[in-house]
Amino acid sequence: MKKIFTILVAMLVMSGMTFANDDASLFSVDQQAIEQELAPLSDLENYVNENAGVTYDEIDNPEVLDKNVVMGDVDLSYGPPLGIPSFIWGVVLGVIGILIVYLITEDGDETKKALWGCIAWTVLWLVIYFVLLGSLFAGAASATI
Amino acid sequence: MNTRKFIFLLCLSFLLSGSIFAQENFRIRSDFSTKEKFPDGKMRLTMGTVYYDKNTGKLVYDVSFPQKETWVFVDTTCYMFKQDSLVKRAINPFFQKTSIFHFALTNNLINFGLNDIVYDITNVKKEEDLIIITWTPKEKFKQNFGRIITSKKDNNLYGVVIYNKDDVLVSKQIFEQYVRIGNIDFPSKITQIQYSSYGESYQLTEYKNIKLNETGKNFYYNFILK
Repeated sequence: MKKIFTILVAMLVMSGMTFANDDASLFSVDQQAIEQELAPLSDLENYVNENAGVTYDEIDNPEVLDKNVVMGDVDLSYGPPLGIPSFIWGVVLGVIGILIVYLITEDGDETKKALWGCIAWTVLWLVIYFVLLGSLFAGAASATI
Repeated sequence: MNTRKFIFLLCLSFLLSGSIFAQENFRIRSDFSTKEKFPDGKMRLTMGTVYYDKNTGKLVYDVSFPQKETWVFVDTTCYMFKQDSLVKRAINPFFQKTSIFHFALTNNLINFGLNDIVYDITNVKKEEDLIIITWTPKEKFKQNFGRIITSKKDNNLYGVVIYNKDDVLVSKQIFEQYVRIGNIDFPSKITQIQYSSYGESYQLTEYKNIKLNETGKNFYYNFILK
């Protein structure tokens, strides 16, 4: 009985220590490793500082532009309505889906995605329609012969 | 004599009120550079100057690199301008009021803007030189939010660890190299790691030339949306 009690207490103490370590270690970040990962950007940053006002397109020095450095737009939006991809809004609700996406996000890119969803759905239905129509005609033709 | 006393007291009260107003910060600006690396190995550098006015509620990024553009966050909307023309508008209900600029001007940075409306403090402990606080969302917010753990060091915010509603680690932020500007301490270096199913992404933001309560540059502080 004493043994069980001792083991129980030891387990409790150890679990407490584990949680404590978890919390402290949460805030330890390997800064050096991160700075190493971002090193190509530091060279680019220095170049931009030395050449005030220079933009990405104007850089004619290939040495400072790592092949992985991109110019892509920063995503400033909160995302599509209800977290559901705008494409799906277009697929499921068609024009109404596009309208919902436009009114909620007021974002041209998200609205375009909904439009593509709507177009994809329409094309799919047209393909199914013509395939069915074709097979119907083929069936009718073979029955006539 | 009574009139003299009255005038003296009046002047004194004006002077005192002036010094009190001087303590209230309403604007902040800073040069910034943000370096990012995404899970697919792509990287992005963004540089420019950021302006925030607490009274107009406008957060304006005057971006100079990779290309010249201006981002304006006001109410729940973000506007992107290129060469004075609006090119994009997007809804973003959280960005402006959850920026560190807003927290700094409202003296809420130390708690990362967390309050007892949404969260309860469920644990506080001291480990080494950190005071670690666990914030748990109140019952009605648990469907949308997870716990947040903050830490303080030298009476300043040091780290923020955010979990989602399923208790999965979403991001870590470390606030360092505080500089004293006026009556506030502002972190000049912020490291962020974001965790997703695609992997980790890193973001390092550095602030320089931080100024408080600038009186000029209304073009940015009160950016007129055309």
